[in-house]
Amino acid sequence: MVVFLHNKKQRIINIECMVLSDCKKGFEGEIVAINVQDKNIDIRLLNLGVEPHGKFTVLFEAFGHKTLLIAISGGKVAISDNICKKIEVKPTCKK
Amino acid sequence: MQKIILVGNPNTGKTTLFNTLTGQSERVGNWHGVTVDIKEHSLRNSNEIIIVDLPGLYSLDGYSPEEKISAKYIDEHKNNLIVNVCDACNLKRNFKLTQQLLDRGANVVLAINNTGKTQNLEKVVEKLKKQFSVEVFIIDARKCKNCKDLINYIHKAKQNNTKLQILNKDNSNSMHSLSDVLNECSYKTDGEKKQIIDKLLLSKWLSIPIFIFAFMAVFFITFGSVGSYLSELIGNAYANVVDCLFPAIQNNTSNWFVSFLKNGVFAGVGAVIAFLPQITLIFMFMNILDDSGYLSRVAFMFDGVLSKIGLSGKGVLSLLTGFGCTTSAILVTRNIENECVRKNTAMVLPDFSCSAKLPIFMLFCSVFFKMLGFFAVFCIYAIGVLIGLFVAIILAKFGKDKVCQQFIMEMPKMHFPNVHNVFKRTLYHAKDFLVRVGSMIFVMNIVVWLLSHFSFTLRFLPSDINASIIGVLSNVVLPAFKPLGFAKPAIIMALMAGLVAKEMVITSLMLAGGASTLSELSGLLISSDSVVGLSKAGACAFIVFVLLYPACISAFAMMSKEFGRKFAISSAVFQLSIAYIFAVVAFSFISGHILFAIMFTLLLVAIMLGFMIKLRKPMCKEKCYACEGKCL
Repeated sequence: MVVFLHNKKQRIINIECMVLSDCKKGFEGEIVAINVQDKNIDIRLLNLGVEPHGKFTVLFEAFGHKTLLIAISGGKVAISDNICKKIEVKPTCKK
Repeated sequence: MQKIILVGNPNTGKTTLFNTLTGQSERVGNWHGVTVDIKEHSLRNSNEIIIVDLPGLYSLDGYSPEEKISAKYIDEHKNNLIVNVCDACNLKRNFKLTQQLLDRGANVVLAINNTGKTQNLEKVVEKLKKQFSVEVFIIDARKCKNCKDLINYIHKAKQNNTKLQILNKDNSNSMHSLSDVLNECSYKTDGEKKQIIDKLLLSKWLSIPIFIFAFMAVFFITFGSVGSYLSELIGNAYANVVDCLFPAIQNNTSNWFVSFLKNGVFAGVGAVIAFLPQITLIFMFMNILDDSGYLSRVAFMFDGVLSKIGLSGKGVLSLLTGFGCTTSAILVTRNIENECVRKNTAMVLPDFSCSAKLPIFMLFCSVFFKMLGFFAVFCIYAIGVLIGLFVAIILAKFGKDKVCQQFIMEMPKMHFPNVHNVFKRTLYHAKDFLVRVGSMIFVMNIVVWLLSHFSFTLRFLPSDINASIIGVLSNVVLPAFKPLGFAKPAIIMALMAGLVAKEMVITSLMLAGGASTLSELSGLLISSDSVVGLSKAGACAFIVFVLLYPACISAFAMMSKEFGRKFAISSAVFQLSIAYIFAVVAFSFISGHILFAIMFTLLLVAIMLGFMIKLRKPMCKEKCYACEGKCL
């Protein structure tokens, strides 16, 4: 996994893949994989439209970057940090 | 009797449609998981058709308690007509559930709730009707638009008495077919425009100040000048009506009957009714915040903080409901998936003061804190919240099995509150309060009057409460309450009556003191000679005790139903213990016995630790799969 965060102009220098919990407000990307082991959580994420190949934008970070509010095609979904860590993403905007 | 079942994803407008179809006023809200129980009522003007409102579910394999309830109910009643309520702004996702319903052979009719702006929705409907022979209705549940067609269809279905196989297995190909229709018709929603209000409400630096400001404003208007003025108006109006009626009754009537009417009927009811404006106002503001979608934002904002102390962002919705009614709030905990977090939330709920405690705080604060009354009420609520959080922290820190939570929640759209919804819900709460006063409080008031005006030998005692049945019983437990500064049996009597319903505390004090108005009772409370007199330290201890001691009998029953009797009893004993010790600490500090207060504080901490560790062990059995335990 190679991770370089975007610069101030939102240009991504070189990112192959990162986890959702590392994303900051304004980050636009695509979900690559969801690695949660709990089937229930997996189903819940898919039901809400958080699924591989889905595009998303990080709208807000709650206190201490603990919970993220992301916008997906089906609306807005809040996800806690421990799940975000298990969601692999890659940026959609390129240099 | 034919059942029509409303099914759909959370927050798609099922309960709103249910209210439209049945004329009921079931709770609706702009967040996911408002409905946590099955509701049934007959269709308007037709007793033979029952409309069933199920809790929202994303799929039939859901894992939260309310999703399981819905899935089970659908499985057991799949031969009934199912009205699948879909949100027009999110059809693709909503169709997943539709597909599952069809796969299980259910009779489905689609009701597309179109509350936003969409393109080509009519085309989609035509195509669905043509390709899948599915009956589709475009409705607006909030504004009751086009619901007539759906009602006519339901009536028609009843008349024909036919099994409505809308989609048969031959043409219900696959999930992609339904989604393909959306693509083929170039179906689009206008999407949610960037909302400036969300930027403000969820901003890292402004979100908390805005939250505090909003709730301060609610408290100021409710408990400050506006609420007090309206309360005084209602109180005076009631007193005038009673004054007009009483002389007519008083003539040629025996003493005990006059006392019964004056104290047992009119005074007690009047004392509680005077607080109708405050209770209406607080519910109105809560409904406004609820309907606008702000409460879900609060859940998101506080998830990080609450998860550190064993609670969850979703628990916020339950905790805020607790300010209205603890019984309802216990039921709302069903939207929390983790059983352990559910129990933690239920444990701290009694510390979030319900609206029935409001009259007690208002009265005591206006009597003992005079001009600072509003501020004192706010502080009482804040102390309750802080103690609740303290309890949660101890649960989280010292429990043997720590909780790892996975918070996933759909965020509803923020919109201007629907005036009709807010008005209807507020009216419902006001009516509910009046019905409660007119039924349970009225009856209990009479029971307390009988117990406080008759001896064990059934002798009428007009002014000797100590010799009455309840007086004798209160005297037995009175020594235990001496460290709290409660030296009079009438105070114990009021607290005991409060276990049935918190409104009974005030009416019992009025009965004991022989007061017929709240201003008379106010005078008696500060008079050391009266049977209900309290010192300032005693009054503070009384407020703390009322704030923390177990919620009413209906909340206990709900706790038993949801978590078992053992847990309910443990929780009640725990609440009673902390109420007692915190009240002793408050009394000791205010009356200057600092050493005694410190000793009791240490005792409090020791008891809480012991209790929590013992209680916690069997509570939490769930492990964290999302992060492989790294979060613990």
